[in-house]
Amino acid sequence: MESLTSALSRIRERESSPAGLNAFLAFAEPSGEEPEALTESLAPLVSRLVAVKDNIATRDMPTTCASAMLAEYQSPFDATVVRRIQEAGAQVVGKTNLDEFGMGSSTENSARGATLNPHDRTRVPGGSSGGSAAAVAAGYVSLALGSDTGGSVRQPAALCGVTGIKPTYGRVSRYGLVAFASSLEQVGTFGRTVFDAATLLDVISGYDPRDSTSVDREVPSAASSADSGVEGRTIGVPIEFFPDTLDPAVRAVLESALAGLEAAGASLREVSLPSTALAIPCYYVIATAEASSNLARFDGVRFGQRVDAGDVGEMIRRSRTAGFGEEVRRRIMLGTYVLSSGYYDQYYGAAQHARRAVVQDFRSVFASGVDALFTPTTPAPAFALGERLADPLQMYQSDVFTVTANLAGVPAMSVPIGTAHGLPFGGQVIAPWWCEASMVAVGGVLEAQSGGRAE
Amino acid sequence: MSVDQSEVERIAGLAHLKLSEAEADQMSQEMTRILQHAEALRTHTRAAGTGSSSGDAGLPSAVFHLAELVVSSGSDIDRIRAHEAGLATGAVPMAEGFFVVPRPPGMTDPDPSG
Repeated sequence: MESLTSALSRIRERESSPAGLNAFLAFAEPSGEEPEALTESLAPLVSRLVAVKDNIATRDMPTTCASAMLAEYQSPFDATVVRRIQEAGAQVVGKTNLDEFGMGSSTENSARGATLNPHDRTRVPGGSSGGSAAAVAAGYVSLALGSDTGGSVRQPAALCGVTGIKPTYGRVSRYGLVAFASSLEQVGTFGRTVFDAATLLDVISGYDPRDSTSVDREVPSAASSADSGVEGRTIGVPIEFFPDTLDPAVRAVLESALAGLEAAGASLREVSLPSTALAIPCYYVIATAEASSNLARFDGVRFGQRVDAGDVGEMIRRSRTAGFGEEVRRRIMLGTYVLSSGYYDQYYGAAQHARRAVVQDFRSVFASGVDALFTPTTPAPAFALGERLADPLQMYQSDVFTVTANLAGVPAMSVPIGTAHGLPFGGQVIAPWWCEASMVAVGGVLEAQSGGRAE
Repeated sequence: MSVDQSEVERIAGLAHLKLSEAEADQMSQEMTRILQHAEALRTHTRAAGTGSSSGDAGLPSAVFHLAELVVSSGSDIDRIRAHEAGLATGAVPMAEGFFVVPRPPGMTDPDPSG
């Protein structure tokens, strides 16, 4: 196992070279003491190095959310997920870049500059957990933590050619995760392999009295299902996720993955999730509404950099305007609008109604005997830097296949299934609530059938 | 649905943000485009009707009884039960779709100029 000190010098050297990716916002300062010896059976991550998205609180490194607002913020406590991985023997190497507060799909909305895709440095790594995905894909670390509000773990995992898992809503504690849209987000994991991502998930899963939305129920091991196969399983293929407009190169990769599942003994069944068409507007109304409320605490008093002014109202307005980037301001404005008197029913109420319909779609499909669903994670592989930055609607469409799992709270993962136009492409597995283990079994088959991770 | 510049300024006030005229103009165009996209939600709601009872079948009840959630003194629980009973009979005062919260004794109206 590589020591933290040697890993840090290796990563820092690469990041400061012309081949750097801007994946990290802060690095750990090794104490010089050897970590205490732990037995592997009790500490499944003994001596493993983990990168942590910079919207997850750490006591010994800043937590900036890639925002000027929190440029100097240092959390007084560790997030529960950070505490759990450390108790399992892991060491945090550093904090990774993201779209400010998790708002974006390309890691370009960062106050500290964009992260680059390690497979092609002219392209985005996806987002918002782009730094974590790039760090794993570049071989800086084999494991990383991210957060997934609308696809922010799965989409960058797909674009960088690694595995990313978003657990069931309530499976993992959000204590210490800086809130963006509380009813949608979960902490998720990245790994070089399905087994690695599932091992990290097992460590962070489970009830936490500090997060009232975490659920106290048994956590069957997901990692031990990674090679249990799909013999006799029924995999649903939702027609809404395979539109006629799909790029033929992408379709070919997907068809070969489906053939692989069939060859492994699964039966495929065409299904329909008709409310998928509403998912993007539904998501962007609910997520912005929750963001406008959650980000009210950044006022230069409770949290955030203060810009002084003559009176308190003006001080708050100046602090918020100086601290938030363009996309964050846009989402706060949209969220405030959809919650404001006169528009509430028209947008927020309608979105809650559509969310119910999305939940009901999943409930019906899983009740009909389908064990898991297979879809593309994204409509296309990594896009070019700057390509979608000027058009927020086009950027929002990057999440078209991932947001439904957040709206419904079901677990979902992205696994590399091949390449399209020379870039990695991800397949998504969506499973019923709390069925991470059977989801990972499908992911394991996809990984094996596609010859492992994309290079 | 179009969000004009004066509406953008009103929303910016609610959100405690300051936008320059150029920023407000750009925000007005972007919000109009994004909200036009969200029109699909309203069409769906109208098509499905307001009841959607079939869509709720089998879902765990989203209605929480306040008295079961709030660990409190006996008198508070009685007050909450009375409130719930009031909700059921329509006796709880409402204005513009929101519950009217009685002002605590001795408190005066806030100065609207802030």
